[in-house]
Amino acid sequence: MKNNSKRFAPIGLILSGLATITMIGVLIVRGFISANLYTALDPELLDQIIIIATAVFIIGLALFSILDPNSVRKFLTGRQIRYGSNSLILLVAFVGILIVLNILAYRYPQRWDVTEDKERSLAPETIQALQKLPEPVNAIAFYSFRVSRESAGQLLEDFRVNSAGNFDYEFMNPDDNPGVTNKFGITGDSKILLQMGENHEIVSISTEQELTGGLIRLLNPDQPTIYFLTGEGEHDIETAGDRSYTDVRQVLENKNYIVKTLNLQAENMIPEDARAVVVAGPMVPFTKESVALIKDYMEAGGSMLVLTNPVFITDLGEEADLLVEYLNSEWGIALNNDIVIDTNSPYSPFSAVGAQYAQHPITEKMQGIAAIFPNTRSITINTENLDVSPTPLVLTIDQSWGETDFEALEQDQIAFDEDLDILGPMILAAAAENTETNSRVVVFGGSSFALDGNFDFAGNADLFVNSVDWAVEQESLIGITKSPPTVRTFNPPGSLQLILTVVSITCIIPLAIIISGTYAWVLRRRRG
Amino acid sequence: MRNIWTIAKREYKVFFATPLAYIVMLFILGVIGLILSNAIMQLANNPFGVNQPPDISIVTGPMSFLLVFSIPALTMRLLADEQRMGTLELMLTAPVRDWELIVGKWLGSFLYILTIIGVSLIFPLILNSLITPGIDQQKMLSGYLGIILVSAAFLSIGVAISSMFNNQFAAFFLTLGFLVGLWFLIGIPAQIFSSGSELFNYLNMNSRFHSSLNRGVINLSDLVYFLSITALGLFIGSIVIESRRWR
Repeated sequence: MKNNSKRFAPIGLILSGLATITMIGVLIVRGFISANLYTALDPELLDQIIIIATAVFIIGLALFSILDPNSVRKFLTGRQIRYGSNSLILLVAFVGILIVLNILAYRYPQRWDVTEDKERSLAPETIQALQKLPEPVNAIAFYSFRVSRESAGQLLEDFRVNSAGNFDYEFMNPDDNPGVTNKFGITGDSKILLQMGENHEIVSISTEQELTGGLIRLLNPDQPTIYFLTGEGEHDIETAGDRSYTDVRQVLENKNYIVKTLNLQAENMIPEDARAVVVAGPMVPFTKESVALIKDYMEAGGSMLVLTNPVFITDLGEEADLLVEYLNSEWGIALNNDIVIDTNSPYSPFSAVGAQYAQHPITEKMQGIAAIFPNTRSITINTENLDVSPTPLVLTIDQSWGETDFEALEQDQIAFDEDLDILGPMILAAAAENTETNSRVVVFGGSSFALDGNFDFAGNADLFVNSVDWAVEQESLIGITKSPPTVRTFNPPGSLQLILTVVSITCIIPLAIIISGTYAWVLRRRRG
Repeated sequence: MRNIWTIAKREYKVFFATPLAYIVMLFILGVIGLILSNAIMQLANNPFGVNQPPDISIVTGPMSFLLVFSIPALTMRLLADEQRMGTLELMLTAPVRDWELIVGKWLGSFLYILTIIGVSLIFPLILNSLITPGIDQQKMLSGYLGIILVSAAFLSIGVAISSMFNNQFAAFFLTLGFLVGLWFLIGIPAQIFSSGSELFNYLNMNSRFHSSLNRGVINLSDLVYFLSITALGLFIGSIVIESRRWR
C-alpha cells in the first residue's frame, strides 16, 4: 500500500510546480501593470488566479507529503535544499535588480541622436510645439494588426519623451473599438487621434510633419484664411505642375490655415475673413481696380505677401506695374528692374543664395540655413515713410550683383558692368509693418523659390511659412523645420578601382581567413 | 581579475586553434562582403547615379542577422565540452571562482567576436572612400556599438546554456532556439495582441538594434536591456556551475 501511494506522489509536486509557475507569471504581470508596461483586461482575474494557484500549491505539497513522507524528511534535512535555496534567493534578487533597472530606464528615457545631421531627432518646431502644450494631450493611434505599429510607435514615443509629461499615447485596434472610432469619426486604418480637453484632431499619416501639424491645429483652434490671388498668371495652388505652389498650400493647411483662391477681377472684393492675401508670381500687371482693392484692404489693416519675378521673364513688358508702384510709394519697398546674379552659387548664377538674414521674427531662427532664390530681382528699401518700417530680410553675398543688361543675358554674356549694374549684397526679400493700421507686407523679388520643385530645398519652406505666420500675426507658430541633411553621393570608381575593390572584398579577405585557418590546422597537426 | 584574464586568453587561443573559428569568420565576413560588393556593383553600373549610397547598416544589419546563427556554434562547446571530457571538475578544483570561470569563458569568446568586428571595419573604410563627403561616422560608431552589445548578450546566453549541458549539439540547438526567439519571434505577439504589446516590444532585441542603435540613436533603455541580458546570462551560468558542487 505504502509503495503504491509513493508512485502517485509526483502528481502533488507537478501540481505545486504548475501553481508556482502560474504565480510567478501573475506576479511578473502585476509588476508590469504597476510599471505601466502592460494593461490588463481584467485586473480582478489576476487576484483570483493567485488565490487558486496558492491553494493548488499547498494542496500539491500536502499531497506529496502524505503520499511520500520519507522523501520529504530527506529533502528537508539534505544539503540540496540548503544550497539550492541560497542559489534561488540569489537568482530572484539578481533578476529583481535587473527588472528594476530596466523599468527605471523605460520610465525615465534618455535618448541620444548621434547621427551627424541629427536626422533622428524631432525638429525644433515640433519640440517647441510639445513644450508649449498648455494641458495634457492624449494620442490614440488606431492601428489594426494588419499594419506595422513600429514607425508610429517610435514617433509617438519621441513626442512623449520631449513633451515634459504633457503628451501620452496608446494604441487601439479600430476593429475592436467601433464605439470609439464612431464617436470621433475615425475611418480606415493607421489614424492618430489627438485629444486636448474638449478639442480633438485627427492625423491621417504618422509622420512628424503631420503629427506636429495636428498639434498646432489643436493648440490654435482659430483657422486664419489666406487668399492666393488668381487671374494674373499666378502660380497654381490646386494642381501639381512645374509652376505650382501645391506644396505651399499643403504646408499651410497642415499649420491650420484655410487656403483659398481669389480672382479680384471676377469677385471685385477681398473677403472680410482674409487674414492675408498672397500674390504669387503674377505674369501680367494688375488692373487699376485690383490695386485699389488691395490698397483699401491694406489700409483696413490687412496683410499681404508679394512674390514678384524679374520683369524680363514675365509678360509685363513696358506696361506700368501698379502693384510694384504701390509697394514703392506706400511701403518703401522698391523692386528693381534687374535679375540677381550670384556667380558663387553652387547651382547657377541665376540661383542666388540667400546668405545673410536680418534680425526679424521671420528670419531670426534661420541663421546658418541658406535659402535659394532662382530668378529673382533685387529690392531697395526707402525709409522715407515714417508710418512703415521696412526691413531687409534676406541678402546675398557681396560679390553678387543686379544685372540690368538683359540683351547680354540672352547671349549668355554674364559680367558685372560698373556703370549699369548694382553691386551686392542684394536684398532678396523685405518686410514692412504699418504701425498705424497694423497691416503687414512681405515682399520677395522672386517667386520661384517656393515652387513645388524648390520648396523643400534648404530654408525655402521655412522662409515662406514664417513669412505667412508673421503676416497674419501668428508669430507664436513661427518655427523651423529640420536642417537639410548632408547630401551623400556615390563616387563611381574607375573600372580598375572597381575590380580591385570587389576582388579585395569578396576574395582577398576570405582567402586570408582560409590561409590562416589552414596554417593553424597544419601547425596543430604537426604538434600532434 | 587575473583568473578571468588567464581563462579568457586561453579560450581566445583555443578558438584560433580550431577550424570552427575560421569557418564562422569566413561565413560572417564573406556574406557581408558579397552583399557590399553587390551594392557597389549596382551603384557603379547605374549610369544615372540616382541611387542613394548605402550607409553603415549595409554592414551592421547583415552582421547582426549572421550572429544569431554563428554564436550558438561558438558557445556550444565552451562548457559543454569541458563537462563531456571531465575537465570541468579539474577546473573546479583549481583556485578559480565559479563566476570567474564563466566570465573568463565569455570574455574569451567576446574577444574573438571583437576580432571579427575589428576585421569588418575594412567595409566601412571602403564605403567611406566611395562616398562624398564620406559615410556618417557617428552613425557607424552607433551601429558598431549595437553589434558589440548584441554579441555580448548573445554570447552570455550561449555560455549559460552551454553550462547546462554535456552535449554540444543540445547546447547549440537550445541557444539557437533562444536567440531566434529573442531576435525574430518575440516581436510577433506585439503585433497580434493589443494588450501587452509594450512588454513584447520591450523584449524585442531585433527592434532594439534595428530601430535605434543601427539608425544612430542610443537609448539608455537599450544599453540597460542588452547589459541586463548579458549580466543575467553570466549569472545563471555561474549558478549552474556552482550547483555542480552540491548536486
